[in-house]
Amino acid sequence: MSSSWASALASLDEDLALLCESLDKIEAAESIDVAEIVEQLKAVADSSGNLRALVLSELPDVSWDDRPELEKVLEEIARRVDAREIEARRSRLLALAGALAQGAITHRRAARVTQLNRLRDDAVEELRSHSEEQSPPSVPGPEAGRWMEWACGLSEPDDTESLQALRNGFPFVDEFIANLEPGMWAFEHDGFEAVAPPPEAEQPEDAVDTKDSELRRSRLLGLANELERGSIVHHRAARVSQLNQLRDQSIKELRFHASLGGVPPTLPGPEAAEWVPWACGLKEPEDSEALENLREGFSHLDEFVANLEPDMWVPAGKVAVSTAAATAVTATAAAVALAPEKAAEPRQEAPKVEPKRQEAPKAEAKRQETSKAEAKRQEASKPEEPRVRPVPIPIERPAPAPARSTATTQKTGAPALVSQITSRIKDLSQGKSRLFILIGAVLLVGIVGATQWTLHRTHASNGPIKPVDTKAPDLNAANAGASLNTPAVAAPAPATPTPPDARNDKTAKPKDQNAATQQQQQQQQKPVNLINGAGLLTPSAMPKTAKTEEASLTAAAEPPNLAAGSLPNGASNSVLNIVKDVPVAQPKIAGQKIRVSSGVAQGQLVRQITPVYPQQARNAGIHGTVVLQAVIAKDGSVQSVKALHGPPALIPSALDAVKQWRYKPFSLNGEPAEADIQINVNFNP
Amino acid sequence: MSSLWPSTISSLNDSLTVLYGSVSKLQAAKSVDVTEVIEQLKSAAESSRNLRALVLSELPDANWQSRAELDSILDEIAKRIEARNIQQQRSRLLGLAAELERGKIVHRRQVRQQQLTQLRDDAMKELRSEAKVEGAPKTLPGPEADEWIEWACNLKEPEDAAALQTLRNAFPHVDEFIANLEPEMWTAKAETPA
Repeated sequence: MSSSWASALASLDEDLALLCESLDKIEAAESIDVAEIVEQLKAVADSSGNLRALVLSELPDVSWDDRPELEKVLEEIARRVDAREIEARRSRLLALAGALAQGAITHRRAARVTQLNRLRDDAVEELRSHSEEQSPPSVPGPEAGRWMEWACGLSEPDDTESLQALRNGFPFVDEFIANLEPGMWAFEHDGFEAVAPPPEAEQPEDAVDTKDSELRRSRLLGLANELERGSIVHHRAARVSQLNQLRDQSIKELRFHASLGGVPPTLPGPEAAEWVPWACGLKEPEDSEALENLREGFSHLDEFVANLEPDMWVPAGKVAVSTAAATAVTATAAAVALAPEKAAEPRQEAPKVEPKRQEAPKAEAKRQETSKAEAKRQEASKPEEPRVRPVPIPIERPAPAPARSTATTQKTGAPALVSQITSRIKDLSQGKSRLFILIGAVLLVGIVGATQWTLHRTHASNGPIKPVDTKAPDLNAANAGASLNTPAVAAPAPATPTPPDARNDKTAKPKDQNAATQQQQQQQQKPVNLINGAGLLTPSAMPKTAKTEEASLTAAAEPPNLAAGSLPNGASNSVLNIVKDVPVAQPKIAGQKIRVSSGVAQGQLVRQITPVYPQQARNAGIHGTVVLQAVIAKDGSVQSVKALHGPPALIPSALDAVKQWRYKPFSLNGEPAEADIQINVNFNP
Repeated sequence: MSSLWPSTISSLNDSLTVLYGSVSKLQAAKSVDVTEVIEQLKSAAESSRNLRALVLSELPDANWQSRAELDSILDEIAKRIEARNIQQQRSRLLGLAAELERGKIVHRRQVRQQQLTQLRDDAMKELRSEAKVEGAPKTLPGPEADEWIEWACNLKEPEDAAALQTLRNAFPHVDEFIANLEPEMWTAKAETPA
């Protein structure tokens, strides 16, 4: 029943109650104020008249004799009103679904458009699915025509209530809106004015010499430092955390490449200070070549800039405008844990970059000029000040890792190792030193991998026995969540470059990026796919001389190849030979708890409650990071959480918040699985 | 209880009945004449005020909070009034008996005088006997004792048949005495010797 009905009925009953009290006094011959009772009587008469008018407005021909009959009439009206409201909610959901389906997403990067289209499809499907329910939920916000503008303008903490309602009732719509910037959305009839394309990035020369290696290395480190010093601002805390995570991965990727002994891959684009605006301005198909180079050589960096909008990035030295005190608490959940003692290292390296830049070849200078011109163009074509100014949230960055840290290498995963080995092999092919050390390392990795795989087989002996060539056991999953459904973060670029046209073609885009990734894995059945699933992309142009060592490395993930005599010295391994002839059992994964990297977990996060900074702790100047260990249940809820370390005064608040978080359910090889994750919650006064 | 009590109470109840009827219509959101209902309300309030005044006149310190408490008070008042009425009736009987005793019968014939005196004594006994009866005594028609003999001796049929019938039914000895007594035979008070 609508509120007017309820209030009219309640008003009548309240007035009647007062009048009846007075009538009781009259009946008991108590002392009374007649004038007051007359007023009460008039109020009752008014309420009664209002209710009568309401009833007759709904059912003009209805008649009734007494209160019970009136109540029956009201029940009938309530049914009608409810049905109408349900229909209105349904219509609203369908109208919004229609508006979402009809609108166009525009972005300079085809991959991002594809990603947003997929999110949009999910949101539309969610709305339509809800509309088919018997009692569909109510979507917050205005009518469909103005909904997108309203939703994109929501910011935390001002609109927390609406955002929470949206997040709880329509997680896919919320996910879509969180990823969408107002400038990316246009109704089809609005048209879309494409941003002027930046000049095509010149390809680096093929000739590689030592100077060039140093230059490349300097550029990589310079950009890593630039990324580290900058800040990300966005009106949604979860989005900030997500981008922060991508940024951290990019920094690690750049430093890893710079740390290799051989010639690091060439980073396209201008110098570090102008690199982010340049990269954010890249568009497909105009800049396909530069994008392809970026994607192949620096998959994490590519993922980061694909998700970053120019106005989200605040370079070092520029102050982010802070509008809300609530942003003082920044929860960079699942931030990558890096060694704090090395925090100052990149800054120490930074000055070294400058002299190298001066030695840049002409091509580099030309690239810088074009990027400056592009930056100016972007300034000119920048949209007006957003209607609702996003709340910038300062990013609390974790300390950078040491470039050659063993721990970092392990966290980076197998692809990083492959790249490292590739470089070593390049060195070997050029007749350089350290041959034996490398071979020893490769042997060690191969043996460890084979042992791990053998152990898996032993554990899987209860499962159904399958032939060797059906599917390799996903050993990487235990370390890096290789086969998790992680559309937001862990969706790597395809190993084989997709033509820009194909990516732009909506009909050709996969409905589910995970499904596409799995399909790719099944089709190719190459070790590189397993590695891709771990989050890093192996460069497609792998030196041929690396084949033998790469095979032995990836043998850890693919048993048949492992057994194929891949040891560099050609020596046979009896254990591996046995493995070769034995059918591989599919590992039994149901009920297993998987360990998920913080980056992957962050991508799965669908509801994030910001921790409350305890006032007492704030006043006392207590700040720092609370590190939590959480187990995520199969349904995505936080099953258990415990604090590993952090300021005791801040732990309860962090625990309270994280307990309310919710993730998309994790899965391992298509089976629901519990996940063990680490969460870092930063408190900055 | 005087007739004022029941009429006041019934007046209140009647007006309340009408008023509640209108309130029921309001409760059902039916159309009503509000002015009429207000008049009903005022009438009920007036009856209520009258009843309250009556109660306080009987029991000035009475205090009550509800209709149930009021009804208890009204019961108490009714009992008091009834007891008071019984006492008044008993007093009238004894008063008349004393008046008869004090009066003197005169007649030219001694036998007749003795006969009338005997009838008077029987009437006195009857009145005093009735006054001693537990509970409410029979109601004696007529005025107070000092005027009663004169009033009774002037009763005539058929005009005063009702009073005579009441007297005959309730007090046959008194009726017998009065029927034999002529007004000039009765001297209200024995003359004190000079």
